Amino acid sequence: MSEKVLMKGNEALAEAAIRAGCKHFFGYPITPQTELAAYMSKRMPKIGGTYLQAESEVAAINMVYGASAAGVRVMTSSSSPGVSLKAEGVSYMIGSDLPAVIINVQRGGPGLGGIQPSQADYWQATRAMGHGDGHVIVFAPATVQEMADLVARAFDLGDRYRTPVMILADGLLGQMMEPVVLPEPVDESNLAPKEWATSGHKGLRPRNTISSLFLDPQQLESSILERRKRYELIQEVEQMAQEEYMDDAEVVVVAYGAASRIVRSAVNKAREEGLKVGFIRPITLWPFPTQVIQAAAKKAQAFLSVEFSTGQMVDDIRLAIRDELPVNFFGHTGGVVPDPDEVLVAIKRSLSQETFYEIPYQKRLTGGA
Amino acid sequence: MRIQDMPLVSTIELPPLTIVAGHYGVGKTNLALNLALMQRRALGVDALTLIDLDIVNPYFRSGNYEQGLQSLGISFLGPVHGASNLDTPSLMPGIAAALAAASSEHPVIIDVGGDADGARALARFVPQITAQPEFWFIYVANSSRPEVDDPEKALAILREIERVSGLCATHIAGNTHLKEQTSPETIISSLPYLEKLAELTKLPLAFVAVPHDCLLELAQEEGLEAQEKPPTKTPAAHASAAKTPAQTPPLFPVDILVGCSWEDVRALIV
Repeated sequence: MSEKVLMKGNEALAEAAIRAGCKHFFGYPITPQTELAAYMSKRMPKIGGTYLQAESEVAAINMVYGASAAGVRVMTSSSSPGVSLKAEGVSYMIGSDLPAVIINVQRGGPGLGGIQPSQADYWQATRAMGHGDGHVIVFAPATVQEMADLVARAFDLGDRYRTPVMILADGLLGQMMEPVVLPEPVDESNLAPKEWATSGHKGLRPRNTISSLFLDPQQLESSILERRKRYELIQEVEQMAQEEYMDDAEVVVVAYGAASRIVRSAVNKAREEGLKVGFIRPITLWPFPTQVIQAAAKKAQAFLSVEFSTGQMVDDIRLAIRDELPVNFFGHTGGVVPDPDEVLVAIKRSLSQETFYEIPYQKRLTGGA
Repeated sequence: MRIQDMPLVSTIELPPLTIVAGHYGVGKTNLALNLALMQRRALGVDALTLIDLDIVNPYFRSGNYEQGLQSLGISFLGPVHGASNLDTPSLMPGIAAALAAASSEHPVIIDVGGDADGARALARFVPQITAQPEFWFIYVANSSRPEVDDPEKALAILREIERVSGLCATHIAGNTHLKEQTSPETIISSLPYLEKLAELTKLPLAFVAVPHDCLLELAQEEGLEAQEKPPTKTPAAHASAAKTPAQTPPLFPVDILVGCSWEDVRALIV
């Protein structure tokens, strides 16, 4: 086992990517993600890789498209406004069945928004990371360690299903420092060859073509339906979630990423007071972990979603349980971070069978980032 | 250098001007805040100025505590941001004057941005800094940061910082930690690294910072004196401390302030 080191979330994502065999990074700086690109700019030349700061996010994602088509592991990273710019390229990659890892270290939006942490890109990541019938796999780490651990899995799933994979972090996770044990480097000779790649046929095999253009509607429909089968498989076998205190839970709090850290503190306090509260932390947001949510719904009386947004994941909980139980929402947005005591109040209100959907108006003095 | 031989001090005798610089994320801001609060305890209200010179990263700056620091009577000068966290590099016009006025009665501490990029902002103040008869340029070293995890790498980054800032470091400070997971072993295992870095840079190791909680564990495990020695602050002692640091550097207890709300910081120090 390697030693514990102290890293920022952004740095851990970058180093873990290199250890997962990623030697190509294309990006454009944006707060609060910049340390990731800065780290890559220092490390890539030392390992014989490529770091390129493109002229824009649009250029960067199309470079990712090109590198992926050539069969290599490639990554790009950005934050909310920059991810919106990349959306066109991501759609092209979905349509061309190209794998890549895309990092979104979310900040407050819409528009330029702010630079404090947010989870307001949930809908974009899970519903429409580009136009057309498509999805990307979305991971939501909650610690710097998990950021490091999920990167290799993101590359593996991308290659296995030939799809872009997003790691949806936020400014809090990207900027925070935690001790981390970095994953061992992957043995690249063990990676499955990419027979579809346009890496030179040398006269030994037919030419490969990579394109998302299908002018014949029948052909386009069948390409979408073939991809849809892969999506169904992903939804069946790739759901990930963490559960705590679920045995006797009357209210189940659902939270992911940085919000789950605050919710865990609140749930621990509630349990100390003897309250029957459970906790589900989705680790994949797409596929959404419907299996554990549906299992929880058989015993619980209500759900509570806590997010750094005006309530987006709440839709997926409602869909998973077909609105058979109340789904409450509590959150803050725009860079305001809820504190555990506020969440504890929301838990108690849910236990007393109140139904609510709210973001309290309040001004607090925030210290630190 | 054995940890058992290292004296435990509550005060580091600093000259009128102290510059805290180093690799990104080693804990410069936390150390600068701790040194500022230490000076505040030693010298009282309205004696001290803390300058935040970090214009490369908008998070975890000492400027996040501006109002709190001022409420304690610590003057603060930092980047001006229209709405508190706009990402626009800018420096306060009062910095040069504050540096020129630094004295042992009114010391100044500068919290510099990370790496050479962050140290660039120092360069324009070289005339005011070098006009001081004495200043400390502390290079903060944290061996748990992967980009400086061996002394050679730390030396390379120091040389970059010196080249860009136009100033040479005068001291090293040990600041190895793993946040809440810092154990006595974390500190002890950093000592050979610090010795090697001191040897490579030919600089004295001014002190080794140790989080308070970890210090209690160290006291139990290594039989350190749990009693902190009273601060000595005669000008003579100060001068000798600065010019000829002891062979065995002291352990300096610090609080983990960065990332805490001001209310939590205040609870720790009041």
